[in-house]
Amino acid sequence: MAALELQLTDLTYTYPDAQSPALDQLTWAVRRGEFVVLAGRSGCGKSTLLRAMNGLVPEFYGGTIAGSARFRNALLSDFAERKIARHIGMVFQDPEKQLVMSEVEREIAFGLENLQVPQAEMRRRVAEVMAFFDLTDLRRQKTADLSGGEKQKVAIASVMALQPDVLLLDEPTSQLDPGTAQEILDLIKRLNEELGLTVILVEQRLDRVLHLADRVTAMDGGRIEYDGDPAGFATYAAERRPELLPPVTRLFVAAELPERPLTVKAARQIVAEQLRPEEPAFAVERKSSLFARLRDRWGQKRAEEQAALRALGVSFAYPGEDEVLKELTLQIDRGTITTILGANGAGKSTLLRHFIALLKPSAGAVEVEGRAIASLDPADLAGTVGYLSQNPSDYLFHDTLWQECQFSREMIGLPTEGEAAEREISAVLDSLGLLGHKDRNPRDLSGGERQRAALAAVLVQQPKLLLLDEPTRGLDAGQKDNLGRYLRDYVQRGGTVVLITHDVEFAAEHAHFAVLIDDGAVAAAGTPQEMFARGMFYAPQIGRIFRGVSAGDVITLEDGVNILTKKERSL
Amino acid sequence: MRRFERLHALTLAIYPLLLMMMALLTGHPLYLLALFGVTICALLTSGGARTFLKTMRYAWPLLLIILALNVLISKDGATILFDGPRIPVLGALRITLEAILFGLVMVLRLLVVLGAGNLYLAWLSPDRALGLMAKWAGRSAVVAMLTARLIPYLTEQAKSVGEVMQTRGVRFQEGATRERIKKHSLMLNVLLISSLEGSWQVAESMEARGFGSRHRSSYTRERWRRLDLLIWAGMLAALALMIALLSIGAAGFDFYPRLSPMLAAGGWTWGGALLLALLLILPPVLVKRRTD
Repeated sequence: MAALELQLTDLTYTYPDAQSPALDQLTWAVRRGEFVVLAGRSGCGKSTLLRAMNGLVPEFYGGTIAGSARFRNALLSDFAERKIARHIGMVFQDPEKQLVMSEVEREIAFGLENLQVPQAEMRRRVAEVMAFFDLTDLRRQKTADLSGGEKQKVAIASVMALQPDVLLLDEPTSQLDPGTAQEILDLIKRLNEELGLTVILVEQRLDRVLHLADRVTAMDGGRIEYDGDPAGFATYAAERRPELLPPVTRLFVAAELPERPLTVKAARQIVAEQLRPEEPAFAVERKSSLFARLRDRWGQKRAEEQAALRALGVSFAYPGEDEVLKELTLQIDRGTITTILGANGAGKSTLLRHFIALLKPSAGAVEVEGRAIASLDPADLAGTVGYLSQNPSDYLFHDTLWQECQFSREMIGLPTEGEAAEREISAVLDSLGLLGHKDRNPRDLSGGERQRAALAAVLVQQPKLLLLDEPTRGLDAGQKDNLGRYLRDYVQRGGTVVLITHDVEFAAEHAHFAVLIDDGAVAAAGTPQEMFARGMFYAPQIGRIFRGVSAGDVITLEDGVNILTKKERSL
Repeated sequence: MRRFERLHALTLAIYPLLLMMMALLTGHPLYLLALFGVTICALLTSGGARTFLKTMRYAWPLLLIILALNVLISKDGATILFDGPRIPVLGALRITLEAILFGLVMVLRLLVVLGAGNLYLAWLSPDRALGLMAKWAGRSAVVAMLTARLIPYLTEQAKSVGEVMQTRGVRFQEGATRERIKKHSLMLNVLLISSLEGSWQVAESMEARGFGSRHRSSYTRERWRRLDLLIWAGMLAALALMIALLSIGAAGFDFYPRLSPMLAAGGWTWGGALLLALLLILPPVLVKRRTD
């Protein structure tokens, strides 16, 4: 057996002021060079476990700890003055909040300076790390000017400059778009495979990482529920924690099949064996009906009264920059959920900000419920349009959640006291599962709860329209399902939703329409079936499994289950 | 700014300081003119002239006030140009040639100082300047750098918080001044809470990278090169020359009660000024030549 790198024995840890322990009599070990994925719902204790392994818990957080944590048989508490940073590095969730210096090269050197590495050695390590991470061209860049992915890369590089033996990563990709997230994960894989680094990774999107892992450890309530290989994890999760399952495995569980594949590739092989490959139906064959439907939904003839939002030939450029939107035309109908997809910088957020009058088009027109926004202030639309930005914390600054909701209503002249007002606020909080938190400080809530709290602050204004900018970012699978259900319910009650997301799975499951924006214009628009069934890159995992195997448009879990069970029946 | 990286940050930091120091050491109009000329040349070769002009847009009223105050208040000059009535506070209004000239020289001196300040900014990025500090200031330099990094971040955050508030119905531009202040204070409140929260995460990431040990070393990519040596030699020679000229009275000038002759020490005065200008123009010329 390989030597043990980290060893926790009977570790119990309680945060200051907390009632119950975050880690409960945990005994766990990691071998040298292992790649371990920590799984579990939000708040299950996995982030705390990570912090216990480099001494941030309890050194930085305080609280009470019992049991022991060891690195190569030496107690973590014996490493004076954060010397443990030499051996165990950690990368955090938010790239914005872990960079300290204003220049990339200095950022990478920051940890080395702390550990009093001599100048000559620093220069060597900085040069090496920059070469490995391909950051040499960015060395003089201001860290503030980097993209999210670049920032996270710099954060990892600055930890790697310390040449640690273990790398702990706390949801390093949760704030990144899928492409960039994959890049970061590939990099981590390289560190593990090429440099023999021990990696312990916490990640919400397990489908991205399970195939990289040697071992998966699942936690709940501060205890370890499963500890073993990824295949075993699939079986465990199917039985006890279905919300942790990647979509691919979820499909097989829902279809009550015995296999538990973890990757699209594995699933495709199983499906291909069981289903006779069908020639994919080309769009040409279905042209008439597809075209008719497209024209119906997206063409000029559509009744204008239906439109909740319209962008007519909208162009826009930020001062001194190139055009972001280029004569974009789009209509969004009442009572629908529309997702806007597209690469970073394609103009998605810029478009959304036009719909709430935060930006005014430099050419063309934007109409919200039939009113042109050209002469409107964002505040004029409050109460009609609810807008949730990427950062829910921007909405939360009152002492209690209840006051936060009252503030929103007060701003647009809705009553804040009295039975009717209380009923309305309570109803919103209840529908979001937050009624129990109404007297808590919203800043004390967890990430997912915070996002719902911000949503509540928007919804108590009773808007007819909801604009959400990447609402699924940082949410775990269960939280995403809840959000999707809530939005569908909201639409059923007469609302309209437009949301930006990189999460194709979410769009496929919950949206009525999907719009792909590219280079400031609508590149494609249609129902999720039309949009995702034939796409290769913008396709949900379920769709990828059946691509070229089944002729039907398979994009949701339900579609997949139908096909698999139909096949069962036909056998 | 990259082209100045061929020189050590200390060299780049000291030169403007030297110009400032010289301007304070001598009051001789000829010398100050020479220094001003050198400063302008240095600014022109380094692309700092534009920011200097920008500074001047805000600074000229100040210079004017200095000039006016000196002319109005100083009554020491012997060459009276205008003898006016008594004015409350200022006393007798008497304008003298010496006071005007002294005021102009003060303005010239300030121009050199402002120009050298702009040269410092043009030559040295804040990062390099702070990096210089880090060597001696250790942790306080880290705090300074952290602050420098947070400014653009906070600006961005303030913008997004303001936007979110607008979409919730806050009208920042409406209402009486008091109301508007109240609305803006709400925004500051959000920013403050978020910053405090953010600072916890930043602190955690710093601690995870070993910050908090008693001593730190300091990373620098500054290197001494032959060019630095040459420039330092030029600067030291200029300083020695200035001291020598001051000690023989060639670089000094008396305004009151009467202006001393422009070339009191004869050839020493104008020759000294010329030599000084030549020595001082050397660094910017070398910087320019080597970097192009």
